[in-house]
Amino acid sequence: MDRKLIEQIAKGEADDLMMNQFDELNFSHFSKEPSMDFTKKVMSSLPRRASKTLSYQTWGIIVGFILAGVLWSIEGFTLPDLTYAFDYFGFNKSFEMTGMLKGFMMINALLVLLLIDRALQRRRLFS
Amino acid sequence: MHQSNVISDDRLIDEVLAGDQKAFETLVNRHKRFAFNVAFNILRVEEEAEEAAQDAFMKAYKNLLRFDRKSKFTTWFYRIVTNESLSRRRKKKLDQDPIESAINMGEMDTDANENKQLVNTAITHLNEKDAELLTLFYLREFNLEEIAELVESTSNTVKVGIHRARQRMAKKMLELLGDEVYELVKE
Repeated sequence: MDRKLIEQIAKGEADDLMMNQFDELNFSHFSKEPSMDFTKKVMSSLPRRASKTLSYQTWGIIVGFILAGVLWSIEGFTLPDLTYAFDYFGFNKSFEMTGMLKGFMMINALLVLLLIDRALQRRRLFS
Repeated sequence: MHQSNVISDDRLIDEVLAGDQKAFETLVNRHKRFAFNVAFNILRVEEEAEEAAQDAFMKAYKNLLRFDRKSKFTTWFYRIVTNESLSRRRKKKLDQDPIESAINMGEMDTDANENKQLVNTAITHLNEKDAELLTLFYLREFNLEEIAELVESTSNTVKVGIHRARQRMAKKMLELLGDEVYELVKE
């Protein structure tokens, strides 16, 4: 560092050019750097945030419904239990809770709960 | 940072709010040096400054939706870092004296290191107001008007403040260099 320059600044005898020079020197040497893993530490301590991209659960439900629709349209429901449940609904306008239907509903209810949980988590994080 | 091909802070914030954590990582990388130096200016202990800066990023992340975009992200973030550092200093009752940052000039090996140490140590030996002004000025993140807004003053007062702080810093540098010239300047 140019001592003469520092002296001029300290005495208050420096012109604009000298002050700019002094600032440039300081700027190039100023500032401390945080540790190398600073960003990593910050990122690892962030709360998990629900993404706007579709989750596996959502894709699972969409694919499940599409598959069911396709099978329905080509009359591909071959599982006797489901066919029976469908026929039962057609005739009686009510569901007979077969084991298969109960399981199917249970899984869907769980997936819906997961989606609600993610939505709530997202609201909480941004509120 | 101000080049057109670099994604703006506002755009990154939009992406973070849309759930993209990678965008926040970019924000952290972009502003970590700024956050660390602002925190260090208040705490004057590197470990504490680093933790305060990390906590400040956490708070910014959690409160990103409250950032109204009326000012720059760094202006809003500066207040978070400052509040976090001041609260940490209060809690831990940290000494404001720059003892931990004191340098041993004899241990320095290269000119570059010597100059870096000299600049940083001189700043830490200034009073808090001078150090704040010079930190904001030398980080080159804000213009005079923005610095004035941050320190709740006018740009003219800030300009004069920086001028005086610069002079006091130069005196401190001479003092640290142990130059007999300092004795002449002091008069």
